[in-house]
Amino acid sequence: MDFRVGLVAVEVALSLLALLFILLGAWQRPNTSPTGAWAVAVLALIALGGFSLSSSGIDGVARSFYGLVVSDRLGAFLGLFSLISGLLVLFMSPAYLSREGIHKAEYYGLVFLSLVGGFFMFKAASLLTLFLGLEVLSMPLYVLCGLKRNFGKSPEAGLKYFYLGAFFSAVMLYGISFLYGALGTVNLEGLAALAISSNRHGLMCAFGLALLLCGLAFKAGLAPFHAWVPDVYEGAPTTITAFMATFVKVAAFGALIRILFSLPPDILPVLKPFGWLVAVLTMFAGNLGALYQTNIKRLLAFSSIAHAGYLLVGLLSFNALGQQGVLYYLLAYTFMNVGAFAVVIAFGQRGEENVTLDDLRGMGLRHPFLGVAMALFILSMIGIPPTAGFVGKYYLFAAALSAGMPVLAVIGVLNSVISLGYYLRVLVALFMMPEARAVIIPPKGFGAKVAVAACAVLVLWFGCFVSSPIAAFQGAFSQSMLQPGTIARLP
Amino acid sequence: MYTVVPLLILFVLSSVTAIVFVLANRLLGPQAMTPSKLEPFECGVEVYGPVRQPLHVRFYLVALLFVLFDVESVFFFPWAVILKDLGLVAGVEMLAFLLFLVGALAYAWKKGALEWD
Amino acid sequence: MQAVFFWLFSALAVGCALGVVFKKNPVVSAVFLMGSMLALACLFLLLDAHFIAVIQVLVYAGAVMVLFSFIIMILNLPQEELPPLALGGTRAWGVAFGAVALLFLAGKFFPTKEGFMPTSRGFGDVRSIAVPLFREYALAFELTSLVLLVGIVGAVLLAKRKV
Repeated sequence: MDFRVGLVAVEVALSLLALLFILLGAWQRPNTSPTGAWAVAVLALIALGGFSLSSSGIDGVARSFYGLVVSDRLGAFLGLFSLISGLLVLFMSPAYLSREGIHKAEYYGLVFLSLVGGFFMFKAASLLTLFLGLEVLSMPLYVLCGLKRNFGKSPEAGLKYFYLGAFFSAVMLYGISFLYGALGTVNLEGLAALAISSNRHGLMCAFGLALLLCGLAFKAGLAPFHAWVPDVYEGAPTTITAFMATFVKVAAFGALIRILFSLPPDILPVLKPFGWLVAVLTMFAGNLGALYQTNIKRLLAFSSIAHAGYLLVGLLSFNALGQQGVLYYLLAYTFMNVGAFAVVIAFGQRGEENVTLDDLRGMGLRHPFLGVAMALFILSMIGIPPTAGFVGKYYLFAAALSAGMPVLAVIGVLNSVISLGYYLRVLVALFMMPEARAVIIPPKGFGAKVAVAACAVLVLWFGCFVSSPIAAFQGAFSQSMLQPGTIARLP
Repeated sequence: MYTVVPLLILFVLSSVTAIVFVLANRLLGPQAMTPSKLEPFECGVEVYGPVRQPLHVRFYLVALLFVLFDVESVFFFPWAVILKDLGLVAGVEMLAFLLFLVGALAYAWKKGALEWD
Repeated sequence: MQAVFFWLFSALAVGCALGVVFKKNPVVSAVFLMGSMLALACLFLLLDAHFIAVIQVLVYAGAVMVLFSFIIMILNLPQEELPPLALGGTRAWGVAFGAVALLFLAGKFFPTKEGFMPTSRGFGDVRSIAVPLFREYALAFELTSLVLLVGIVGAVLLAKRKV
């Protein structure tokens, strides 16, 4: 065992990049944008993404830092998704920030630090790494949510997210302390010794595990811990909303995968009913809540809750289909969600105006490129072929069927039907209603358009060419874990 | 365990002393609470309002920076103890740790967070 | 002897924690919180975790309490504004659920006859914390610097008047 810093090269590079941008924020001239540094950051993220992609082809599991961090294909794929999300957000940011008057290079630094935290969450081989990763992920986001200090809802969002996030971090840490007390270790391999039906230790294990999972469910926005999502997503700067909706979900689900697949197999029958209930609650909470929304950011927030529910369905099936489906859906979800928020930014005006459904009326015809792209993202969220969302959903629900959970699959499909109720309202507003505003201000932001175009192309691409990513994702699990409990037998 | 016994004795003794003095004052001393006796005596100024005035938010910034750098300095104790044994490794670790915190200090300094206005 | 001290400091910690919750004056609550922290430090001492006990006093009872009292002074809630602690609706459910959970857990955890386990020589001193901290858990140590960095940057960004 050794440090083997080379295995966390991406994280180190991101941390140094973050420090650079934070210092740049102190030394930049007021009201200027760090264009040169921005370009460097874009290139760096592309390079790191390429590095992650290349390392995702390597079989095998490697440990670094005395076994605190695991590097395998799953981690490489999730890292790639995170970097893609970060890169898209990076493209959307300059135009948005200059429109909102946030001339702060620290913004980028905090985004990179958050990415570092996410990496350590889904590469965690120890509950300690997982917790610290969660903190490094969350704390920059609390700041970023409240960054627009003069816009009424942004400080509220930051404060709300901070209080609830801190509370759930404490809950999670409490759970970890119980697990440590019962097992004598915080390594994920140690979880394989978890036995909840044995003796006094069993209760400590169950209690600790429940609290730990509650903390992660909060981050993932699963019901009944989802109430913060709409308020925070609405108040946060829209670029950060897109970042949270995609990257944080990737990190939280990555951590959930690490934990669930470290548990001994005999715990699953106990755990599954709870997971089942949470998935159903989450889907209904998201979709029924979204029906009442008129603000597009809140609507997308509720829809992200629903998507977390679909993802949980795939995770609960514990089979190869579900594992591929979760990864595929996370990727598809990143593209369609970031794309949708980029369109919202392009239609918006300074101070988050024009983000209600009424404001969108007729804009699809006035700005066909943005309108068609938004329609594509919405169709993908509904799950209509040939979009990436359809493929992902297909795999998730097929996994539930093959795992012998037909009721869950049926509920999932039913929820997709419910979701039509609000997704179609967006499409109707965009294309079938007369324009509401007398004065049309043309949407601005070249970077946002690049992000929209990239997302639209990729949503279609991953909707049409399915086989090679699916094959790759199958490999993601085959080495490290195919069945729960197998991680314990690894070297 | 028994290394802390002197500490406990000190704790108990100081508590008892404090309690005894306060109680003795209350029980033995004469109590004539006339308004003029409740006035500030010999030191202090005349009362002219509630003492808890709102503080400026910059106090908070100073306090928070203090806590964060306090936590940082806590890590130096174990590091200093172990430095000889681990040698270069511990040195490099602390340098990496300090890189980010010196960066943070430089940031706070340049932003004027260490100045009062 | 140890059991006596354990119960003494445990009762002190729990009592002070209750004081934090039930006192209406936030300054009094803060002082109770400090009492609770100190009692916890004493419990750490009983467990032979000397270094942790010192850190508990230095960081929590010292630095964090400074921050708390500053925030109380900044917010400066007049005492009248605090609503009375009414036991109705959600709160009643919360208390009931918490009480049941507490009794359940207490019943399961408490009947222990093991007592204090003997510790190895040097347990809990600075060196025994330092070796794992800078070897097996070096990553956690480095990640802490990132957390502190975010804390400082966030404090400056959000609390500084003119950024």
